[in-house]
Amino acid sequence: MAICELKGATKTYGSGATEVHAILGIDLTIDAGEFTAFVGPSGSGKTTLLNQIGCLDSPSAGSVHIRGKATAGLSDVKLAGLRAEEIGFIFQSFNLIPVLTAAENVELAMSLAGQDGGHDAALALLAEVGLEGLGGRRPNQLSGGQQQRVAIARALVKKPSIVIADEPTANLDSDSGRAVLDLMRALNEKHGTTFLFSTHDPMVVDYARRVVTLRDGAIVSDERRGAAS
Amino acid sequence: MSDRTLLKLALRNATRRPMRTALTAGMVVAGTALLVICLSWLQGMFGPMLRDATNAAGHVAVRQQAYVEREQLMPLYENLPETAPLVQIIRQQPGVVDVQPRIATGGTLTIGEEIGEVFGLVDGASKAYFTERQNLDADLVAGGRWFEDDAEEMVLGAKVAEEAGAKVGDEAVLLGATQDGSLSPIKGRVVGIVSAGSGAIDRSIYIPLARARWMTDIPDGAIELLVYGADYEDATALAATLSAVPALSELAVQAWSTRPPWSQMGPMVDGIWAFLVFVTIFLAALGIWNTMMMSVLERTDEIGVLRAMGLRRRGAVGLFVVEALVIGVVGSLVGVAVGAVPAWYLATHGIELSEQVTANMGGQFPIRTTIKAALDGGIFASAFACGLLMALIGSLLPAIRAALISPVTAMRSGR
Ligand SMILES: Nc1ncnc2c1ncn2[C@@H]1O[C@H](COP(=O)(O)OP(=O)(O)OP(=O)(O)O)[C@@H](O)[C@H]1O
Ligand SMILES: [Mg+2]
Repeated sequence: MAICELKGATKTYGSGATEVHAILGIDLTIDAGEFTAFVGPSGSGKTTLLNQIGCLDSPSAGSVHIRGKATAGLSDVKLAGLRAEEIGFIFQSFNLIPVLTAAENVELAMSLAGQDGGHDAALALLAEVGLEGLGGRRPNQLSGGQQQRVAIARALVKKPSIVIADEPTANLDSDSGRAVLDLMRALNEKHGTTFLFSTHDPMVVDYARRVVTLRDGAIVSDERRGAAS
Repeated sequence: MSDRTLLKLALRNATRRPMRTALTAGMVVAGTALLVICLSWLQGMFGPMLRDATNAAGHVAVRQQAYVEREQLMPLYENLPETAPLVQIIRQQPGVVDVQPRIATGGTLTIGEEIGEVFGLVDGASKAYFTERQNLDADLVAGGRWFEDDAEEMVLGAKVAEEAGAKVGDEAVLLGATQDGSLSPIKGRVVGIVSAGSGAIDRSIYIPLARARWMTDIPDGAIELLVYGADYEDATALAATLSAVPALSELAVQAWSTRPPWSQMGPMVDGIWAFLVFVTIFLAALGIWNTMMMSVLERTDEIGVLRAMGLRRRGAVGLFVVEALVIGVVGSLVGVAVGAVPAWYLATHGIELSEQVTANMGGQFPIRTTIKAALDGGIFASAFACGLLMALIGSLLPAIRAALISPVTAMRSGR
């Protein structure tokens, strides 16, 4: 079942001589439960594409549908609501809220999604990502790998349709990066959550079951790897 | 985001940079403290002043139209020749507590054989008007008493007495004029000297109404009838009641607030008040704007992340406004407490104004030379509310700036 569909999706920055098509005419279908990597050289449009799928932005031309809902022309409030309910984010530099504890960071996502039972769900999920007993710590009392686990818990706790991770391991050493990817894969298999991530790291690409390669804002290859290692 | 989460996050953010928060709160503290001091001072200055002034001038004054038109010249011939029937009618009107006929004019005072005459404002009315209405007997210097209504007696303001070299017990000659302009001397014994520290009171010569009638040759009348209700603030309603009385239809019936100098003073006092409040709020808000803007810029990535997680623009505005209001509540409470100390000192000790200042204010303003602040709950409440307003106004632009941060920022952060 397609949870995300892009048809001719285009994002243009600037106009006239300075016009840049960050992505141009992207056709793409994402099914529920995918574990997909977006690769390509710097500036090829990976982040821009993930922004479109993540409803952070809407397309200049073409269409993006999330669970059948078109994002183009939606008001800021509607887009924010869509993100709160359907999309979880994992960022390159973790971006936890520094004044909140790990557990509170996770609860925040549920609060923003308008869901109840945040505290218990947060503690349970923190245990699942291997941070049992660390829920009371502030981000600056956690290692980078631990912070990214909190971020994963924060992205997943509201049970989103899609989790978007833009270069999730770029700020981690390879062991922590591997551990984070193992965790993402495990959660993907256990909960069936869709994970979309971008990366420059071949090791990370190896985890993906589908690899979409971009160049100059267009898809140049879309390869499915069946049950990858 | 639930209100509880928003409040929690705002509270945590407020404690994040203690120095900056202290600076923000400090501006609210300074603003509210200043307002408590200034507003209690203004109230202390104008409140008693208006009460004193309206006691002297009447809540409502009834005079000849022609007199009102040339009030500065004090034209004695534009008088009310028969006051007794008018007083009787006015006393029957609802809300009227007291009516006092009065003759105010000018005169020069001579003691014994001495040459060298001293000018004074001659105030002729009943003993009750001076002692019960204005409480002037409280300002009598030791050894004196007030005059009796039917006696050939007078009470002198301290300044007049000093310049004329008069003591209690002296015989004095007061040289005034009749209503048609002839010179008219009256004799009287000085039975008391008042020293109120007010230019107007200390420059006056107080005589019984009967003596004033004799001197001015207005045997049964007066210049004005001063009408009193229960409270000077209700004078406008009282004036309206009296204006409707047929016997007074030809006369000028004016509440104190519509007579000069108060007709200009009301808006002036309001203006000073508004200016003070406006400037204080503006300056404090400017400071708060500055520190809050620093916070917003510093937290750009974080706001982007919250926006990506589904925080609406309104929520971003709320986050900073609530943070500022939290700081504002604390700052206002501290500011009110801090301002109350000097205000309380001013309320109990007051500040001495020089005689020069009060004398220059002219006859209509019986300003006391020691002005005390007046503190009350209303002033604390106003200052507190203004403190919150400082926080609210100061945080508004930074909060809007925060709301304009795009959620895309989150994805670009850390690069
Ligand atoms: N806000 C913007 N204004 C103008 N141009 C932009 C903007 N955002 C992205 N671009 C341009 O769009 C193109 C795609 O950028 P994007 O960030 O999506 O690439 P990327 O594949 O994520 O690169 P990287 O691997 O370096 O993260 C680039 O040429 C970039 O310069
Ligand atoms: Mg990128």
